[in-house]
Amino acid sequence: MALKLTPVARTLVRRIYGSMALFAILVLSISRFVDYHHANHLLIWALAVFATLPIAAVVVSVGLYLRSEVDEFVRWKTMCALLWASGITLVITTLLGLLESLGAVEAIPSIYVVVLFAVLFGIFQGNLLGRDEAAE
Amino acid sequence: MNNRLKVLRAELGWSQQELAERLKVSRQSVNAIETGRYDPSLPLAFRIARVFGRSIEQIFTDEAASTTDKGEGR
Repeated sequence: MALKLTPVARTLVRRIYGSMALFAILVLSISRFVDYHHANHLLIWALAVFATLPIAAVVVSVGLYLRSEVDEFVRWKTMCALLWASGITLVITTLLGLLESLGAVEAIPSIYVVVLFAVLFGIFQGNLLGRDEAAE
Repeated sequence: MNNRLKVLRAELGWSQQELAERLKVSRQSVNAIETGRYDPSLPLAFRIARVFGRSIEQIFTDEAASTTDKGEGR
């Protein structure tokens, strides 16, 4: 049986999809703009900060979700998925950072950290949902 | 922690969905509590007790405490 999302979870998913789509559009547009126009250092900084705002919006949305989710079991599962995703992201980025400083790997753009975190969060959420379905 | 949620629910002829609606939680929450995969918070335990018209102790039992009680009774 398919598991239904709570109303606040649905709102969160909508906000995350919207913010991530906006983030992708901004990153692509700004990269293209900087490639074709001579932007000064200050403008590049301003554009980069602007492009990162949707990520801040995701963090705020998750915070609002955790405060407004009335189903404590669902909230607990989201917290578990967030903790696992944060932990694994920290481990992987620390490992890559160390390897990079030792000269063992090429520098990997840190912009991919958010993608890694999002993918891991999705995997752990899916895993927890799958575990629930299997238990029923 | 053990609980008698499934038995009490069956006595009243309620489905997991019906109980979930009365408790204002999801059906998956009721299932997780019934199968012992999740222990509810004190506020939710009180809500469950209210829905069944019983005390928390009549629904939830602490395995560790009952083991200690048996040990002390010897």
